[in-house]
Amino acid sequence: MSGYLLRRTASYLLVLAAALAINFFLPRVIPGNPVEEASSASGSLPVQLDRQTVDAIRKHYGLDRPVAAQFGSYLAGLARGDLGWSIGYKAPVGRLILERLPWTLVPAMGALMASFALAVLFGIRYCTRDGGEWRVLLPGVLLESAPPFVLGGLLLVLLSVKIPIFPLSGAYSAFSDLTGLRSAIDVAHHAALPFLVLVASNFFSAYLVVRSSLLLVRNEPYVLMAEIKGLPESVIRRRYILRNALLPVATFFGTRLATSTGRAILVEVVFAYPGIGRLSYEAVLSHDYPLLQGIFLAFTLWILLVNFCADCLYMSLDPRVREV
Amino acid sequence: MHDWRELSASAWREPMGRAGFFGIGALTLLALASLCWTPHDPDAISGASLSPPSLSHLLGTNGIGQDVLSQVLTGCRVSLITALAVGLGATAIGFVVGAAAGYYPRRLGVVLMRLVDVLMTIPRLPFIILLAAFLPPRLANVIAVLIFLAWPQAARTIRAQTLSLRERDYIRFAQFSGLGFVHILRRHLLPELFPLLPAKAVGAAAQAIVAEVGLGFLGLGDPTQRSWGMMVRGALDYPGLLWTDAWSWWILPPSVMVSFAVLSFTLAGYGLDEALRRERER
Repeated sequence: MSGYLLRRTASYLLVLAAALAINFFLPRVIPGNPVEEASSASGSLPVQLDRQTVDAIRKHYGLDRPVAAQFGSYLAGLARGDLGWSIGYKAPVGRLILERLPWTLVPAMGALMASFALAVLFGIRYCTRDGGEWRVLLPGVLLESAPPFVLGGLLLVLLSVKIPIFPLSGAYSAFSDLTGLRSAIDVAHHAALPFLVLVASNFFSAYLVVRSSLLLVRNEPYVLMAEIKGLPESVIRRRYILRNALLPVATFFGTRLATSTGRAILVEVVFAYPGIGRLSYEAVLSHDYPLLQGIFLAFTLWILLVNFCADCLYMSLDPRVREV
Repeated sequence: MHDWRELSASAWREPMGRAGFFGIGALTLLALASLCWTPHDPDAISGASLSPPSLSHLLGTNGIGQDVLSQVLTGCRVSLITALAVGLGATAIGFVVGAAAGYYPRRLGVVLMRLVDVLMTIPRLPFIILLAAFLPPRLANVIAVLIFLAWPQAARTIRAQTLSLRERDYIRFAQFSGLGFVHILRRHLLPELFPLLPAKAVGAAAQAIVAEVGLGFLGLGDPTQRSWGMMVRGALDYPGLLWTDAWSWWILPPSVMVSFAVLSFTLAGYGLDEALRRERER
């Protein structure tokens, strides 16, 4: 492993350590604990618990042990894949997250690819010549200003209620026994609107990166040289400009992929789409703190994983990085 | 040294920037106006529920008969307070930390930048949700969380600038004459770095508006403050609302206002960035 990758890995471990520490210490610094919860659980009137009960509750949750030992057993649990127990679902947090994971990852990644493809297409169309760019910039700025859940809400009203083309919520038709292709169409039908919102919310920032990269390359001397040589415009665009402009775009794709799951949260809430974002909303509603913490950890791990893969890829693409 | 008048005039000349400043100005006026006057008490039941726009309720009423226009106006206040507090707070912290990290790049700088890296890598919205869920739902807490996540971006820019500034002769000279960091920060670094700050503040403010509205939408905002996000949430939670026409006066106005606010701040930030870029080119 080269020094570059080693240093990056060290910084990722630092982030992971920070996330674990946040998860562990947050509930311990903030007011409220299981004893108070138990003494007020029966209703609005607080119950006076005697000494033994309090001790028993503290012992049950391991709160009587030193903090370092508690942290140790928290880490040991994580190492075994034990993310905790969801209060709301009465199920292991790890399993809940794994069940919901594909519903977030697939639309988020698909939408990201679609929006970058669109950005590159529009970029070539408008940034390799002058004029007419407002046709992308104007709608782009407007789309970017509307928060995704606002956009989602409007699409929901227009395309699910006023003109009922798309389903209102969920990821598949309930109580249906569709199989094979029919069920795939059903799932795609449900995913269409969330997908559209995700594409719209990613498009403009992708376009801006494509744009600045294209404009930079367009003024390179070798492009001028190619023009002087009289090469056809399409060849110059594709082989001289686009190819060289794509590296920063690829880097940006990596960072957006890392944060794509976080951006999907509000969209999933609007469409009641059963991904992790929706799960975290359900956790908020039912004050399911272990679930919230597990989800936070899952999002962190996803970011670190994507960043690590991007680093490896970057190293194989750009030999200069390897020697640093 | 920066020419202040030239910089602000340059940002103003940029039409997009000017549109942004006008937008922020309009929002500020609305927010100030809502302090002394709203058509109705935003919390009082002032009409029949879900009544369409009329002369007495210009934007109609919501599900329990509160005036939507009054709520939109007071929501303006919440968003602007958040924007102002997060913009100022995050830039101030980012400035001090970034300048310190750039001025002492060996030990302190390394530690501070590690912290910046961690905060910028941690998933933003999930972290905000986690903190907001654990903290008591108060606007001050929401603002504190947003500042906590926003300062690293400013710190990174300021550090990069400070790194190059500290090599300049006059700063060297000040160091050799035994002047301390605080003095150099105030007398020499601040005037050079200050023009970068408004652009950073406006950018942080735009993000803060989106985040605050998102938290309100998730039900994690301050329930005593009527924010646009909570209005949208309340509307979407109202059973069967989407099948009536009420969405057009209950959901649409706060949605449009959020988008307008974000657009204004984004455009203003663009104008400020452009002015800085033009100054660099000259």
